[in-house]
Amino acid sequence: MIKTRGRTRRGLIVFASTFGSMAQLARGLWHSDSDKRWLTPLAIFLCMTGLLLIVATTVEALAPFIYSIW
Amino acid sequence: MYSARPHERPTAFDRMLIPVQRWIWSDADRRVQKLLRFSETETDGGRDILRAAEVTSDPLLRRLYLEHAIDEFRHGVLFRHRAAALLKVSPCRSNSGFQGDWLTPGGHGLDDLQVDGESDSDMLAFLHLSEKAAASRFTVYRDVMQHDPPTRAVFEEILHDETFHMNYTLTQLARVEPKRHRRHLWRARLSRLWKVYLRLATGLSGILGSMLLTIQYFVLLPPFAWLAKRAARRELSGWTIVSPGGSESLDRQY
Amino acid sequence: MKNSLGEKVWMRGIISSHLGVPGRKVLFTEHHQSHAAAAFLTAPTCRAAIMTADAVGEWATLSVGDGERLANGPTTIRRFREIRFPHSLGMLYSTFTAYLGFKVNEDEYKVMGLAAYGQPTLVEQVRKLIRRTPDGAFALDLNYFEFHTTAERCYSSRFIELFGPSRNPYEPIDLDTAEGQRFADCAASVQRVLEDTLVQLARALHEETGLPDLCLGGGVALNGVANARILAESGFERVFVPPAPGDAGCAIGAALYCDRICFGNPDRDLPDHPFWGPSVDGSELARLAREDGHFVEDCYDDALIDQIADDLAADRIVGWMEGALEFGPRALGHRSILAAPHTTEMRDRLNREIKYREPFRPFAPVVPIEVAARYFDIPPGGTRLARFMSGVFPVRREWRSRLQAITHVDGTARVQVLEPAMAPRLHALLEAYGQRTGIPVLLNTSFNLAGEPIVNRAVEGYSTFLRCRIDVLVAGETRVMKRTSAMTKTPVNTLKKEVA
Repeated sequence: MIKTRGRTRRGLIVFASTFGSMAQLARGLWHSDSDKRWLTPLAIFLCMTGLLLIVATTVEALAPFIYSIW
Repeated sequence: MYSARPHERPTAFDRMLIPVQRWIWSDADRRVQKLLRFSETETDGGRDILRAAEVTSDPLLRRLYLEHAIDEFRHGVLFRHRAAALLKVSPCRSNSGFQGDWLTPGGHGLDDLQVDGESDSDMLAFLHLSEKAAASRFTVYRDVMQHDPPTRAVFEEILHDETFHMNYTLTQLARVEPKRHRRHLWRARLSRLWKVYLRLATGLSGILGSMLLTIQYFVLLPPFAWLAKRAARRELSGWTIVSPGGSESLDRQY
Repeated sequence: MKNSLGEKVWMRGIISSHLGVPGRKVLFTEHHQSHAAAAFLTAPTCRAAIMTADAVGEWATLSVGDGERLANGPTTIRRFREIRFPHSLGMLYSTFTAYLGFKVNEDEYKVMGLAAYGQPTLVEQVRKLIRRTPDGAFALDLNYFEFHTTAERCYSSRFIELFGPSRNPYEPIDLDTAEGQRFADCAASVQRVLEDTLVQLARALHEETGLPDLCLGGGVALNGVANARILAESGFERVFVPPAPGDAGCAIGAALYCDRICFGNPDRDLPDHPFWGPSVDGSELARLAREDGHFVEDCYDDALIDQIADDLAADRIVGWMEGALEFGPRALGHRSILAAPHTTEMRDRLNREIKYREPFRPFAPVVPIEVAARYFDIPPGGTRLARFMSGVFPVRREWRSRLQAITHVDGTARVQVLEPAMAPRLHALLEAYGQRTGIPVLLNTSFNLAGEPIVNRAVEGYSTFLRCRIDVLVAGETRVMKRTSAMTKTPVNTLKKEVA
């Protein structure tokens, strides 16, 4: 049985997982192919921007300002 | 000037925007883009109302919603055909600049609606206000379209339906919630106000976002673009061998 | 961008938050690994070569390998090698989809339908876009494309110089004009190049593995014309395409991969059908239709089958809902619109009054397996491909005049060959229809209107039924017919006048 969670709680769980995901992404890029190492700082930067999107989906009033970046 | 029935009289805010709308609709490219967008909006709205017809347990509402949805789909087709006819006469330029989209509610398709979770009364109140706003706005569009009789005729035809939609949603709301229908209307009005804020905020933040992106584009991206080009030059085409152990670890996303 | 950064990057956390499982328990399979697993582990074969092709997944666009499974034993799937983005057969085809004014990642099947109306006169031009590499793979000439640099447009101005101006999506294609014919020729040419490339890749894979079976996965495997050529020309004896070879099927592939390979569970056979969705409830339809005053009949199996066969023989169009919904893009007999396949009038009526779609698009037939070879020229191994409508085969010349509604302009049809065990009631209906007309073949198209998803529940079928000119609706044991006077029970039109 899947337990339904509220939006804020779901947002918090996603937020808490982001740092691990970012570290994993950076590690993955660094260890994969030496050709792709240069992508690591860009990927981290984009992930930080992605964090803003999570905030946007959790705090609706900020959403238009954050979505507009794209 | 406002020749039609009294309920088609635009709101004060819409009347205030008449010069802006006249300017927006005067350009053929902008007209095409807006008609195409309206077509999508009406079709999306039609899908939402169709869904409402599928989830309601009230047989009369089901029939009315279905009729309403069919009207919306037909409006989508009318707008699309008119845009296609205009395109045939003068092919569109790639970018027609400012279109004032954030000013335009158009229909209800623009607003994010979770039909499956709405009660009949909330849905009816929402639809009533949306249709009322659309009727007011479409009256303005029809009236500023003196120079383009076929497009004016499209708005005229759609306005007729919008009037029906506006009225049946109100009478049905009074039937479904005889005592509390006003409360539902006020709640829907507040929700629309919130969406007005979101719309304005989107307009304002669009400007901020463009500035931010421009700065990023010139300051941050050039070194990465250079690195990407260098890496692309080194990339070989053809087969890449998949290493046997390469995909063993399933706990890594990247 | 918003989608990638807002969702895809954080998928572990999102899945964890929705399902309530710890993040470390969420596993990830690669995109083409999932395609390969979906194609191989759902196919009734123990050892097969595997080829997957789509637009792009992670970096791969096409991969080849093999798979082996032992009954109640271990399973292995190996991918030998892959071709990487931006060199992509899927993107090549999608670029032409966009150029021809259709929606990318959605309307590729329209290009395939249009191709039959053209001649591959532009093959040399298309070959300028894609060259074979010395190792037997292929590479796109990126000067002709923009999909890898911008989200705005797939093709470059050089592409336009080569093929001429693109089609205005809002203008219908008129095949009687030179411009319409040019678009059809473009479609025919890219279709030919796609087929040639896939056949060569499959032939090389056959020579390399020496296996008789091939499992095909990825969105490109939805191209039934190419699949039929692979079967005919690559050397493989049997070709398996799952009912959902596209990205939706990756869900099944990922689950099977984890079960059989990651967790090492022993191999078990899967049911060889596509009916994985929710079941339809006939009593729900009966209630809705009675509330609206339509003619409702509840009858049991034989009587219902006889009645529907009579309806079809009387040229009525039937919305048919039975059992569990199909998984995948094809209507395979549980959510179908059925009609008599004999005349072009029926095809035009369906296009005009129900499906509201381009006249150049063909309709598919369904035929019982016992008599399929009588009406269709199906090669050895072809019935398997036709099980889930994954191959396009010629209609036998002598039957074309009596199967006009399902015979495409080039004399072919994307036929579904039906085994009784897969959909017994539809099979019985085909037999009953055959007894009345002498031809047990029906036109079978998905139960939806243009741009809408295939219906699932009875109420969705019912609302579709009311919005178009389907004459009869069936769900389970319930048969509904529209009664014109039904609308007078609570007359919407009168109400409309009063309220307005």
